Amino acid sequence: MKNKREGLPGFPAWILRKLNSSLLQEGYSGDIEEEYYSIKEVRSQWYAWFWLYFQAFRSIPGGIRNMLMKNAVMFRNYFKIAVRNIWKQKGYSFLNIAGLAIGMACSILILLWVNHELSYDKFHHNYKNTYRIIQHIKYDEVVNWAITQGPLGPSLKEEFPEVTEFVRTRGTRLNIGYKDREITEFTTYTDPSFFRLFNIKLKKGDPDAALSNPNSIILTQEAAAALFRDEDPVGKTVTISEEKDLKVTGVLEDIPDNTHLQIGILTTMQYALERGNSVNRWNNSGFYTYIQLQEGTDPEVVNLKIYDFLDNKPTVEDWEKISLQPMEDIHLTSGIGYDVPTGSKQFVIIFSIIALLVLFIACINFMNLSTARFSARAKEVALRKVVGAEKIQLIIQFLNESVIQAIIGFSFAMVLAVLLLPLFNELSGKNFSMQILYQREIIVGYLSVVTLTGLISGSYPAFFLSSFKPANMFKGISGSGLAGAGFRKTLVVFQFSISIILIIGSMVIYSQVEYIQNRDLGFDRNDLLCINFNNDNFGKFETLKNELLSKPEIIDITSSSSLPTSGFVFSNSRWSWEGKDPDDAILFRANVIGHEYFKTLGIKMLEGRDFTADISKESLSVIINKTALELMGLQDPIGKKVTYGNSTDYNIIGVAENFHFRSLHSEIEPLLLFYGPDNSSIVYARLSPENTTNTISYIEKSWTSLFPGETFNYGFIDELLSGQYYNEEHIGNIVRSFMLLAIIISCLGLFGLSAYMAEQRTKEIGIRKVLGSSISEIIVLISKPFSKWIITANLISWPLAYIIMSGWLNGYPYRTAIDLRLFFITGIAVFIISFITIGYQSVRAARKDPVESLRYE
Amino acid sequence: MKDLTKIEETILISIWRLSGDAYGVTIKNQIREMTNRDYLYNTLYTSLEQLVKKGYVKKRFGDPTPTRGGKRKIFFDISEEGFKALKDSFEKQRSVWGGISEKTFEKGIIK
Repeated sequence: MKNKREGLPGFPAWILRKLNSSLLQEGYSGDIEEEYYSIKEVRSQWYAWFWLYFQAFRSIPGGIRNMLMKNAVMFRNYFKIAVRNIWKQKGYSFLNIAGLAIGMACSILILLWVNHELSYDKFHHNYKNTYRIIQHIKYDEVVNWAITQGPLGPSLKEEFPEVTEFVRTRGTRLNIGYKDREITEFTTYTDPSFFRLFNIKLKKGDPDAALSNPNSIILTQEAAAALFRDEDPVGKTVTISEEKDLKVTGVLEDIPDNTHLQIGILTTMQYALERGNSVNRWNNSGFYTYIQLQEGTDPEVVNLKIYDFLDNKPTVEDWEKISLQPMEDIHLTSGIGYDVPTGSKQFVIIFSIIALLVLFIACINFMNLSTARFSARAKEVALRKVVGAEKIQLIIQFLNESVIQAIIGFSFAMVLAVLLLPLFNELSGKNFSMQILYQREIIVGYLSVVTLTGLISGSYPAFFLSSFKPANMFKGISGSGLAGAGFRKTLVVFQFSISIILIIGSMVIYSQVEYIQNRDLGFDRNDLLCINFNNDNFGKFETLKNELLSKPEIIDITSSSSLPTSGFVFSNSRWSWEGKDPDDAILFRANVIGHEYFKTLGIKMLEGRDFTADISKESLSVIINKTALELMGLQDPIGKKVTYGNSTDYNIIGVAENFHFRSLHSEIEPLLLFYGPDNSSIVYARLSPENTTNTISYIEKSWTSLFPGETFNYGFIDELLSGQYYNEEHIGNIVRSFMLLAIIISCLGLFGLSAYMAEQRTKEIGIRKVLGSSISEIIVLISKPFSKWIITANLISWPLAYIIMSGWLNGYPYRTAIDLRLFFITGIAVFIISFITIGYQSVRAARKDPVESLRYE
Repeated sequence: MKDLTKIEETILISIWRLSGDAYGVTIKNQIREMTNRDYLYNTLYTSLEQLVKKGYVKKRFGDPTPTRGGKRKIFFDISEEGFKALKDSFEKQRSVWGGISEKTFEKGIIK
């Protein structure tokens, strides 16, 4: 019975009421009204009005704070309930959390990796306007080279105003000496503008001046420590190859690992010129050239301008063009010749997808398990509703459970990530430290991912469970639609398909790596020692050889100017021969070898003879490989001539069997071998397989006594070879890890599901047992639906796996075939795995006492 | 026994002084008299609720009157614990402010 009287102005009154709904509400509202009216009387209506609004609006901040505090209590309550619920279903909660933890840990690590890969070279000033010049040369087809001619950089800057800076780099190995210490290290020749384009820091020295004097050298910290120990290197003089003095003008700070640059020690381009490098000549490419464009310039416009720049320059080949490569793309672009080792954009994409996929699967598992539990929770839900819980409260409660599980999962995920970090570093070839996991942005990012995961994964079960009608529960109706068997089946099939594809994939990768590593390379790779040789010591080479050969364990000695596997010393197409089609431009690789090369390496000669020891006699001789012979189409090659340019004729004295002088990533190209034992940088020694360590120390002794001050740097060729397939091993490792991951997560999902299904059919099983089924019959019965699912998964994934792996294998000119038996083996393996997973539940269900089962409510 | 906040203390003293006649409006006026400050009802009632929860103050319903739109007044009486809390607070104050008078303030910052 409300008196309809002139009440308070509604709006402010409403605000006031909402702000302070408490146990003293009545007094509060009443007091306000009382004072309102008294003011209205004493002063005026307007004043009272004003007072009321004042009270209302000034109360808002405090009111909000109050509401938060009060609701905090309510949240604490929900929290307690959620934790209690989670603890009540320990098994399921554990599965859920474990699944999420694994998925999240995985994504975290992958995202770390992806983030790192994408960050390469972005710490340089003005990296967006920095480009590397790529050369395009036409032989039969156009090839792309990362190296360019020496004068290119400076001429580009001179001719094009848009080019504000240029810098060149070229790697080499220098022998550096100080007092009585000596080192031989990787060194880069570069221009003084180096520090303007690249954000490399100096620990000592001034970047603006360090390279201005042509006789400068900047050491790495390791080099400085080796040569100078505790002395300050800056200002001191070091000697190169015991002949040239350079002044140390700085020491490099450690360079960050997310850059494509590999520099080592730095010295000047002028010194390179002094040593005979083609700094000012157009007829040789050997420099990485970088330029910087003016801010705001369109690279495409510049590209058009410079494309034909080399046309009127005296370069080696006829058709040579250049274009710009943005610096940030360098690391992720592969396939350019003579490039530094790069990553690959495909990997980045693949792994990002995998990260998301894994997280996705974990979330789906989560959703799956939660909805599968609904029959157990249904009673609880029904009861709550009957007692008066509102739908929104139930939703909040279930969401809470999910989010809390997600957060717990996240903490485990972080722990997992830290634990797996060393393994991951090994797999990925990176060097992440634990600190990286603690960075604020990352943690904030993850927390949002986690909350999102919890909310999304939890939303479905939350809404589903809370909308459940109590009546249905008591009638025993089981779920349909998304909660139904159809959805779950799809999920399991999906997860297992992915697992199967990964299993097959990793097996194929493994067999390809095996194949590559064991394929006959055309030379004998066992016990072949390679030693870095300083060509200046050539005079004593014969002495060395005689000394070494006197020991029976050392079978053969030879030398060459580059390793058989790092390929070749120069390559171009300026070769012609009798019957060559003048329009053809064929790229020949070439190497310079020493005496008894073929004998030591065990390469077969097909026709003709090897080089004799007489250098002068053999100065115009050449030995070609089988591919070269076939390409040239010569009938009796021995005695025929091969001409370089239009001037020099070389006599073909022999034809060698093809051998792999590059990694198995490339086909065997035509090869020309010239005689130049006085041009060697590698010495080879064929050792007998026993006691190689003793033999090596003997060699070392001879070496150091004959070449005092030279470091004895050696390796076995089969070790060096396996280094070429680092990438493949990597991928293999990574795929294998994902395979394990996928299997674990799939099994987790399967486990939960089988438990649920066994539970669902408890009554049915009880009845069957009573009617006389044996345990084994029941086990078969329970397992039947799962078998169907696994078979489906297999059928789906086999063709997919085949297509994917064939595609990958096609990238290799030398590859193994995909063994179809692999597929069957995988199928059976997956069957076994899944049955073990289901096994526990099905056996337990089958052995249950029928009395218990039938009593089961 | 937890310390009283400034505003809780002020309210408690008002309730004590009003002995029996303390409800929202009177408390507000009393405080304005004592301290020349006008508190919002919201602020008062938040602290009143705290005091009731802490047990320093007991609430008592009065009669509904038309001027309050039919709502009852809620009277507040100080309880034994509340009384003790006030005494405690007074003693603390005294020891903290002990010996300080207006003359001390005339002497300035250095004491």
